Amino acid sequence: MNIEKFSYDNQIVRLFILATVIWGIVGMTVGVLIAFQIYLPWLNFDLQYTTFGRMRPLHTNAVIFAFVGNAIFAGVYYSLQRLTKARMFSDVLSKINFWGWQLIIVAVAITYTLGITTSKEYAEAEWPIDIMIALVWVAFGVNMIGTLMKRREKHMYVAIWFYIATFVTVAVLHIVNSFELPVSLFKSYSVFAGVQDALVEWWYGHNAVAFFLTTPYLGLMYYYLPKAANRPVYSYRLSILHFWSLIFLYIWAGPHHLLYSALPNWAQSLGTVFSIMLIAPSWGGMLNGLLTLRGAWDRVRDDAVLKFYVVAVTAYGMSTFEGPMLSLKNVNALAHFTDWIPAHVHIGTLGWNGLLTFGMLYWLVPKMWNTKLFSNKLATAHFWIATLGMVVWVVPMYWSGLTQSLMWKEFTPLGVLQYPNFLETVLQIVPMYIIRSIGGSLYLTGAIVMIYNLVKTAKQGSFTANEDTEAPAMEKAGGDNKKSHRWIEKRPIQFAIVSTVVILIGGLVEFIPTWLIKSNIPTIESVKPYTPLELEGRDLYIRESCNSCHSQLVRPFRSETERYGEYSKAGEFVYDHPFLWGSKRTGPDLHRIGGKYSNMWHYLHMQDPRQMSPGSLMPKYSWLIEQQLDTDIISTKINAMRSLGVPYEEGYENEALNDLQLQAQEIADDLLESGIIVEPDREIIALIAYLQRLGTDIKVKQAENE
Amino acid sequence: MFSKYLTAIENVSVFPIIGLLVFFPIFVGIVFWVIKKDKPYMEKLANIPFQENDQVTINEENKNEK
Repeated sequence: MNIEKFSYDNQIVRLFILATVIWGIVGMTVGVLIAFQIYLPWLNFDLQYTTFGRMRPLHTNAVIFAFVGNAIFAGVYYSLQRLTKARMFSDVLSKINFWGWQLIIVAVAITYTLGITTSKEYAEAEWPIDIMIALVWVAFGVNMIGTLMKRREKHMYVAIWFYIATFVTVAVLHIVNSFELPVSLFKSYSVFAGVQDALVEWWYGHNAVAFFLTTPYLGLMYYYLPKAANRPVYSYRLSILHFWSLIFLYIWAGPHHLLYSALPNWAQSLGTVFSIMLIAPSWGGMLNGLLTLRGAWDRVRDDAVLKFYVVAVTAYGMSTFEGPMLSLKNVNALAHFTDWIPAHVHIGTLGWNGLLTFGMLYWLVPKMWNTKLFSNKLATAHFWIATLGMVVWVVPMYWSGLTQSLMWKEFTPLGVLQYPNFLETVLQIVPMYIIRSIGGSLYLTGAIVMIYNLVKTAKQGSFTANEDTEAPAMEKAGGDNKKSHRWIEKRPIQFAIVSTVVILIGGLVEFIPTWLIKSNIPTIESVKPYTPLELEGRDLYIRESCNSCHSQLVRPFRSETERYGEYSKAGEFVYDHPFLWGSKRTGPDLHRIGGKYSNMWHYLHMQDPRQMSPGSLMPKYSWLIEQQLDTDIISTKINAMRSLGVPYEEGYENEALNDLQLQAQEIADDLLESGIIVEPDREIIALIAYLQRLGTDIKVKQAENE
Repeated sequence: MFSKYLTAIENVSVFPIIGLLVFFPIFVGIVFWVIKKDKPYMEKLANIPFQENDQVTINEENKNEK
């Protein structure tokens, strides 16, 4: 047998570990900041750059793509080389992957802070960054598949399957969800509108959870858990089943994020059915992980790494049980838009992703620095702090979600809302927000303890950048079993293709009928395109990420129609590029806000929300009053919208600015009558125009009918 | 924009059903394949993470013992 000498690239793993730790702290710190901001409005610092609306996407993106993303790369780059007995395909690609990813993260952090955002959840980055993401992701994929092509181990271990599925699916998700039409370097409109856009977004959003937070981590689990426990996975058969059923089912489940929305009913039901079916493979995977520790439970008592894994895998099980439950329509009716959802999400992220990452780091760093962990005691302390932090985070949020939801739905015996004032339901749960922020702080503290421990560990050891090793060369095709060998050699490619086909079918089945939207979305004649001023106002709404806290979707429940007005119809959103339904009601729904309050009310409310609603938790938006509205590209915007199918007349782009100024003057005049002096070219005017328009198209029709 | 092309396809609504019909047999096939595979083969696969770098020869010995 021909033994070949080569080396593993540990340097790239070290870089990714470093990035994981640093961005982890940054992302969690922003998370803690917004946890405090939500009940202490002054912590928004009255600065547009640090409002909750802009910080929340920064937090989600930082923890998902920067913390978890780098952890995935670290874990994959280490395990893939060992599982294939080969160095990474190309050191250059590894470096492009690393530095490109860090560049993206920095770009995201800067643009979100500046209010440059597409508003689509977990994909808020604007189009130039989207292109960078696609390129870097492809570099990662090529590097991975290249490594598989030159591997010295004939068989691909199950972890690798999860890695490949992750690569292909995230590539497809990202590209489809990023179909957008640029109007300037930092602004674009989604090519999808309204219901379609919502469906694409949640197909993406759900599968980002599935294929960025779940499948790569399952791959990591299948490698690092057996390694730490020093025994093979409980059932390899089960792991294969786990893999295939997961990727077969996951991709279909997206619509469960849109229950009771204006989405066609059949699509909602499809989402629910597949979500319920998902319990089986998820729990199969969880049990497979836990049972790997059979006969080694005594070691869990002493080994901090195993402790992290046990709770991480349990959290995976809890989260994947709760997810399908939440997709039942009756449960969803209660939980949607409330704090229940962040609680559910944080079981997954703090528990599954966070703890598994910590466990992996505590195992990897000593291994790569050829030493022992500096302090198992500190690691154990971290474990308890993190677990406690997680519990203190989620329990109050379940409580608050349920409380608020029940208050929203409470009627008096006379049949009117018990709590007609939304704010009342918010103030009720403020104590829960306070407890949650303590939970988050604890979790962050644990992570800081880890850094100390890991730095100490690295200092006492010595790092080998290129770990020399040797392995028998893979037998060339031409031996006794020609055909199957050749087939096996090609397998990574074939495997990638098969998984792509599998997820594409699921995706297309979901999409095709919605693309045939004419029959699915009844058009409403009175629904007209936004005026230029309203369009600009809408872009301000996006810039400030108002959708972080406000939904624009009244569900067909009596409790909602009583509170907000007529429930939302699919046909009302046909010109909404992008859709702005939102996913969380930290503040009230805004779909029927148009005409509800006077212009003056909105003006004073933006200046300081507590002037109009004492006790409100909303940040001040006083800069809207000071800043001049940028109308430079209004005609480009009109043109872009027209090419996306919004029926502005030919040549309207030339009249748009004039119309905009006329409408702005009207609003300024109206404000003047109420004693407020404001130039018509201020941003606040555009935002008021948009808010006053929201959800009024249907009212026009009703008025005409009468 | 996509709807234009798609509505042009006749009976496009049967696609999802075809999708499901294709999906299901493949999945059943995988289940059968997994069950059919013999145990030593599965064990061999499960042990891949443990035949690392310089321990190659040691692992070879282990395999012989089994």
